[in-house]
Formats: sequence, C-alpha cells, structure tokens
Amino acid sequence: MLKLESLGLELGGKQIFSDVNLAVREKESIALIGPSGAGKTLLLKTACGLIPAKTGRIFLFGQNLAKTGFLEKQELREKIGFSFQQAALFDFLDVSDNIGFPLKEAFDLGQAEIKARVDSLLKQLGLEGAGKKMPSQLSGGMKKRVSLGRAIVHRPKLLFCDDPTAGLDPITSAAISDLILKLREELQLTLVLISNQLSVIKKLADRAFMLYQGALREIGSAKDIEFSSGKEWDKMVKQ
Amino acid sequence: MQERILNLLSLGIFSNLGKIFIGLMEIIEGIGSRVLFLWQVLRKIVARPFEIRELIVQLYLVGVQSLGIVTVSGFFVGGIVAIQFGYALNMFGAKVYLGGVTTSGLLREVGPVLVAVMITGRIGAYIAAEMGTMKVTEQIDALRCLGLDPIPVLVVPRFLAVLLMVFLLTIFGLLVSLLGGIVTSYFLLDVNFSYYLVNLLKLTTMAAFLIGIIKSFIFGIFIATIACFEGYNAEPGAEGVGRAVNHTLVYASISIYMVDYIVAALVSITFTLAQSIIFTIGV
Amino acid sequence: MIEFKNLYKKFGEQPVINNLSLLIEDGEIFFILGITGAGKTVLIRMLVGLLKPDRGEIWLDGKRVDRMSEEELKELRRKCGLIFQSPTLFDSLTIFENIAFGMRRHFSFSESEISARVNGLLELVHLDRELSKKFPEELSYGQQKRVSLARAIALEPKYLLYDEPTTGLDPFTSRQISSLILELRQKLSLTSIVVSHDLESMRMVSDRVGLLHDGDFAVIAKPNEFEQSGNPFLRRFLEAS
Repeated sequence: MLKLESLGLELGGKQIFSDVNLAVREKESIALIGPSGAGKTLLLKTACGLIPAKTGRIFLFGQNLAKTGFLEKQELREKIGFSFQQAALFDFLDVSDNIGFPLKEAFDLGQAEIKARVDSLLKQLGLEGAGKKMPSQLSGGMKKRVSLGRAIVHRPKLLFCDDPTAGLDPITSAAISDLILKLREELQLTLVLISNQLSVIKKLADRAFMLYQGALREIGSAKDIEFSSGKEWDKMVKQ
Repeated sequence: MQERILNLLSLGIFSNLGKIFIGLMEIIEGIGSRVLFLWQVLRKIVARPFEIRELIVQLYLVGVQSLGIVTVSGFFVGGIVAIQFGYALNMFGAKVYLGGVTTSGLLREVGPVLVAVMITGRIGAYIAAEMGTMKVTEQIDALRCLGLDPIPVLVVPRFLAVLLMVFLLTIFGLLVSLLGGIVTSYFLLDVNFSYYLVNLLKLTTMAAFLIGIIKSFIFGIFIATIACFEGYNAEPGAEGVGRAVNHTLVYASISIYMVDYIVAALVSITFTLAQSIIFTIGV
Repeated sequence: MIEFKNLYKKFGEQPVINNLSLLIEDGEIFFILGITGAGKTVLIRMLVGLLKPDRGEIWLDGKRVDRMSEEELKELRRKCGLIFQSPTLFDSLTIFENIAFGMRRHFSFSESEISARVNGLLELVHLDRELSKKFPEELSYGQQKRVSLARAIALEPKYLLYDEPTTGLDPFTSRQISSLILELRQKLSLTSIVVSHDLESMRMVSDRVGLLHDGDFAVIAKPNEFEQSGNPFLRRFLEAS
C-alpha cells in the first residue's frame, strides 16, 4: 500500500529526517509516535506527496511517486484521505459543504448524489442536524469529526490521521477513536496514525514506529507500548 | 443579490424604513464606539509610565516603512501636477506662474490627502493586522493577565507614532513633490528654474501651508484611531483579522475624503465671509 | 485564600456555571477536571476578572473580585497569574524581553537586576539561558509553555492558575511540566489551580480534585478517594482514559 525507501527531508537548511524506511501492508494500521517537533506531521505529508522529499522513494499503491505524472498523481490522491491535526476546516463553508468538498472538486458526482452521501455520512459521524453549522460554531470534538468526514467521504483506501484526538478530553477522545475504528471497519481502510495517546494507539494500531532525532525505528506491536516513568524516548526503542 | 432585492421589496415600506433606521443607529453606534476609544487612548497618553522605548520603535517602523512610498509617489505626483497645469497655463502664455499654481494645489489638497491615503494603506493596514493578530492569539489578554493595561502599552505608542509620522511625512512629501514639480517643469516644460521659485514664493500663502498641515494632522488622528480600534477589537479567526484590515482601509479612506471636503468647504465659506465683511467695512 | 460563592454564568441558553461554590486553601493545588466546554476555563477567567459572573461572588484575599474595576484588577492579576493554554508569547519580542515585560513595568529594577532575575527564572523552569536571545517561533511548544510560566512567575505571584498545562504535549514533556508545577508550589509558596483533563497529571500534582459537570462540582475529593468514587459521570471519565 505504502512504501517508503530511504526517505529524507530537508527544510530551511535543516535535516528533518533521513533514511526512513517503512512498509505498510493493505488493511494494516500503524501508529507513529515521537516527541513533538520531531517531524511526524512532515513525514506524513511527504509520504502522500504534499511536500517534496529530498532523497529516497515513495511508493503509493505500488506506484513510484517520482515517476507519476500530474494526472496520475490526482488519481492516486483520490484514494487517500488526510485528516489534519488542526482540523483545517474551510472557515467559509458549512459542515455539509466542508465534508462534500472533495466530492465536488475532484469527482464528477451530481449534486443529489453528493448530498445523499454527505447526509448519510453525517449520521455515521454523529453530526446529524449539524449540516448547516459553520466551523466557528463547532466544538473541538465536532470539528475533528467533520475533518474525518471530509477525509473519508470519497471512500479512500488509505487514511492518514494526524493526531486525531489532540487536546480533547478523555470522553470525546474515546468517541473519536471509536469513530475511526468504525470507519476503518466499514471502509476496510489502511491507517497511518500519528498520536502520543496510549489509549488511542492501542485501540487503533497494529504496529508502532517512533520518529526520533531524524530516524524512524520500529517499536513493535502497538499493544506492548508503555510510556513508563523513568524512560525517555530513546529508551523506548527496541533493538 | 437578486434575492435580497426581492426580499427588500416584498417587505413593505415600514419594514424597510425600520431597517434604514436600524442601519443609521448602527452607524452612529460605530462612530460612538470609536470616539470613546479615541477618548480612552487620549487619556492614557498622560498615564505613567510612558512607553518611550515602544514609541521610538513604532516611530522607526512607521516612518521607515512609509518613506519609500511617500518619496516615490510624492515625486511623481508633483511632476504630474506640473504637467497638467503646465499645458493649461502655456495656452495663456502664463507658464511662468507654474511654480505658484502647482504648489498651492499640492500644499492644500494633493499633498496631505495623498500622504494620508498612502499611510492608511501601508501603516493603517499593518497596525490593524498586527494588533488584530495579537487580539486573536490572546496576546492582548495575556498582557492584561500580567496586570498591564493594553492601551498605554500597545495602543498609545502606535497612535502617537502614526500622528507624528503623518505630520512629518506630509511635510516631507510636499518637499519631494515640489522637487518633482521643479524637475518636470524644467526638463519637460522648459520653465526657468528661478521663475518657478520666485512665483512659488509669491503665490503660495502661509494659509495654504497651514491648512495643509492641519489637515494632515486631522487625517492622522482618523487613521490612527481607526487602525488601532479595528485591530484591538478584531473578531476571532483569520477572518477577523482580514476584516479588521479591510475596515481600516475603507473607513479611514472615507474619513479622509470626507474631512478633506468639509475642511475645504469650511475654508472657502470662511474666506468668502471674511471677504464680504472686509468689503462691507470698507464700504 | 480563594472563594467562589454561588456562581452562575450563562452563555446562550445553557448555564456554564450553575450555583458553584468552592473554597481553596492557601498552599493547595486544586485540580479541576472536566470535559471540554464544561466551564473550567470560564471559572478561572472569572477569577482574574476577564469575565464577570451573572450572579454570585468571587473572593480573593478578602477582596471581592467580581466588583473590581479594571484598575484594581491590575494588581490582582499580578498577584494571581493566569497561564493560558496556548503560550501567548509576544512574538515580536525575544524570550528575554517576554519574561522581563511585566517585571519592567511593575517593579523598578535596574537592568542588571532584571538580567539576573530573567536568568534565574529560566533556570527555575529548566530552560537553557541561551534561549533568552531567541524568538518564540524558534522554540518548541513545550519550551514556549515554560517561557509563559516564567513570564508569569516574574511578577512574584501568590497564586497561579494553569489552563490545560499539559494538553498538546507528549507524555514525557507532560510529566516534566507536572513536576514543575509541584516544584514551583514548593519553592515559591504558591496556591495553584490546575484546569485539565490529564489524569496522570492529576495523580501527580493534586491535593484535591474537583470534577466539573453541568455547571457545578459533581465530586470534590483527594485524588485517591476521587478515583474510588461511584459517581457515574466520573466513572465514564476514568474509563475513557
């Protein structure tokens, strides 16, 4: 599904990460952990081609990104969903339009069909009745739901979630991670998740990787992770 | 748009009158709140401690940022005015008076208004955006939580800087546009340098100069008040900051033109009155 | 000493604070738990006069806060510092200037005194002196949070209100901040209120915990009793973490 080979990224003269190797199989879920500022978000964005990499190769659905043309890249993007850390909703569109946006822009679906899909998705997301609300009227949890909705409305195969439960209280956080779990089941998604919250990682991921000091290291099974006292990031890495 | 017009028409006279009334009330409220804000700022100018460091920083920022644009536009506008009047005067063989005519116009009108509009765009927008962003990212609240009053700390230095700079830059702009006029007259219109200057001094009145200066000062107050008000009261989000900038540009520009009109009208009425009084007394 | 008496505050239809009363002892660290939007932030903002309650009284050190003028609130805010969830540092100023900002205007220290104090404060929050020349955007989120702490402590407060101090931080940094809260309480003899939904932090720092739900405290107890409580909402909260 997704394969990264010796991926390296440099920004503003600084080396963010280098020699990153990662292979994600179909329907697998992996969690990316690590200190804030390590570059996890940048890694995700590079992996789906939003930012150009300095070195290395990216294979999305078996295709080398560097060798795909513009139109082919568009097709690949249609199979990916990305949920941003800050929700990144369009301030000027209401909830329904935000969720329906990818359908309107990238696909050739009729108005009625778009509306139908969005409405049914609103139900799934627990946002029934909130279709006409503007992002500024939404709570943090609701914004995350809308952002997830927008990320999967076009039925992608691969979902990138950047810290979906950041800053949320435990109850809302659990609701969101349950939602992602449900969506993963229904759409048979492959999931790449950034999070530092144990409960979320254990619920959603199979394997876990850590991005630390520019290198990506496998930690092993997500179920085995502990942020025990006394340990720091570097001690969490298995050899 | 069509929908809105249809809506308005369908509502009937009283409803629409009501809306107009409310609209007027809103305008009055808007003006009122800005006047109150200005009052608060003026009161706090004398509050101790005075933020001298901040003021100097702001003077530098405002001055330096506007210098380039005032110089360039001043020079060219001076030249344009010279050309326009030049051709007209030439037809009457009165090219020599070019110095006096252009300067009078520049001093009274073009100079102050031009500089004010430039500064609105450059500085007004900048201050509105900067303070708006501070408001939206809670920096102003953080300041209050440090036990400080944002008005003397943030607003007053910027306010004073804008006032002072509009004043100074207007004078500077006038000088530059004079230069533009002279240069253009000499090279393009073939007006003798000394004739230009002599007539400049003869026909330019102290009154014109003073009026121009006073106007620039008034413009400064408007620009400073509006920019600081909009930024300080910006609504949340990127939208709020954008709107603060937008409002600043629109309201400040409108104010400048309105004030300009009123001052010009007042001056001419006073002038006419004065003349008729002198005439009557003479008689 | 801080006291809230029969507080009531409404935004729109629903009251956010509904007949809330609480007494906070000197030297205590009181932890306020609750879901987002429960009113935790509203409560501490009312304590420093950023918001006014619709009904009720707020007392700090024998003075009535909700009746204070903006001028009187200035001294209150120096004494009772509120640290926002987002660092809110002044981005056009260096770290040094940020920390010195309030100090310069409240006290009359010489430049060398200010310098010494800023360095002392950086040390207190476990930040390197070298950072003082940098600008906020060059620091990590965790570092910025510490600077905003230092900035508030610079005013020598008696009370500190922490609004979600560990939210958005990774688990290790969160722990560091939590121990810092304990350290500061001890070194500076502070009374603190921590507003958060971080249970680990709660276990580390609190003397007493209050669960804010439906505008009032559903449970107030010491941390271990708190976790034993049978309150249904609390159980949901604990299970979800």
